[in-house]
Amino acid sequence: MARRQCAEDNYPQPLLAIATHGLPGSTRTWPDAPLDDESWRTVRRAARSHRVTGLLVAAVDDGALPATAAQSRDVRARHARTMVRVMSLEQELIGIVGLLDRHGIDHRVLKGTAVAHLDYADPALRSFIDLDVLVRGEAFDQAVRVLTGAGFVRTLMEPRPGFDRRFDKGTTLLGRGYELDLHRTFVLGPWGLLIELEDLWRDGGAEVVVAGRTIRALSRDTRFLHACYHAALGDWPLRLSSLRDVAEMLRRIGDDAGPVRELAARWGVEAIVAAAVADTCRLLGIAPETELARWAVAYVPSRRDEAKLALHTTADKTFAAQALATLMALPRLRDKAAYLGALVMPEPAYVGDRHPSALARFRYGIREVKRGWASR
Amino acid sequence: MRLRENGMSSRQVGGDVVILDMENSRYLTVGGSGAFLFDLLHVERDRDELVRALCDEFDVDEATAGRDVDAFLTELSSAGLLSA
Repeated sequence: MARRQCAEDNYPQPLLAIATHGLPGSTRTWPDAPLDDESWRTVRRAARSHRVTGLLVAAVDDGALPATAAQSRDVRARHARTMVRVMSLEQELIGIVGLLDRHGIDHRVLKGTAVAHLDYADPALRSFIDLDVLVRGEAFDQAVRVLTGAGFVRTLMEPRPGFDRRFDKGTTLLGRGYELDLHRTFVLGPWGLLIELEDLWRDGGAEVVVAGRTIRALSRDTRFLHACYHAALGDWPLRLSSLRDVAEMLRRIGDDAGPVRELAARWGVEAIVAAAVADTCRLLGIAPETELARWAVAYVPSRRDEAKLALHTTADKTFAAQALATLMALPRLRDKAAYLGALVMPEPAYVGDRHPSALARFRYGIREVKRGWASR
Repeated sequence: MRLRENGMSSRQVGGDVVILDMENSRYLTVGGSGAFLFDLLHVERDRDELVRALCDEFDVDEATAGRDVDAFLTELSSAGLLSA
């Protein structure tokens, strides 16, 4: 079984070129005349969905993408509104990290805000629609209590108390019109279990100044690994802003890839890094010129890793299929028993959030167990 | 003088600057020479520096640049966007 690759025809033309705008060496080509109205709307919507509207504006402004005056005004106005939303989220983030600080909860800001300010030449090129914060596993329950005490609401209950802290990626909390993903690790499932979580906290992280306030993000190497996780496992078809994140970080890492390779090997996640970097090079049309990119393109994952990657390279991945894979990957029998017990006999509030009846839950469970078994 | 930091964010969108002022729950867009001056005001500047920069960038005489700078600073000040 070969690793399933995301095909170029998942992206309307010239979306891939837009996602590469400003990247040196990309071979993606541009149209030589403005798009017709229907094609323009399709590309504009796709750019929004792939969170590359900032790159679309930049491509139009620089003349790389020919556009009519109306198209130019249209995309600028839309991107301005997106940026207002992004800045509003950043102000909310400042409140959240201030709250965690006041309660002595160590944290790192993940993804959107951190990457936009640390890895892009201009943060306006990177948009996002929610917030992501990492806390230590042992502080996870306290962080949830502090945030729910401040008005955040969990989108789903835990199957059993302590489940999120022990087994899940984290939890999603609803704020005032936005979602806050509170993480203890990068991802649900077998790939999440491989992360040596203490490595994420071993250094002081990276500082990023947002609206006059200094906040902490992951350091360069762990931020890159997280970007690879998100690019390779996050969305299907692969989200272009995630690939662009990887491309921006690859430029910064250059030939100093030793620490990243060492960390990925120690965690056992080289297949993720290789998939993310190889897909970034392939879809963004970048020649693999650095040592890291050459290694990634040549990397052949094991059959077991291919199967684990396949849990994510599908448009209809679900919690249950990943839960089964997680069960098989848990190292200790005691953890397997606790995990299985929580999912088979969860608290009523958890079931009520997900399924309308016990029968519906049973049918869903059988279907997903079959899918999870098939992807072993 | 310089821009206020707390409760305010900005982003470049094309040649404009989009500003979000959370303290007053509003956003505004500044273009042209205003966007240029706004960018300079992320660090402490005096009026003369701004006038000279505007003359150099837009090739205008000092009197015109001075009027533009004064008008822009008055707008920023009345919007509460300058630090105290």
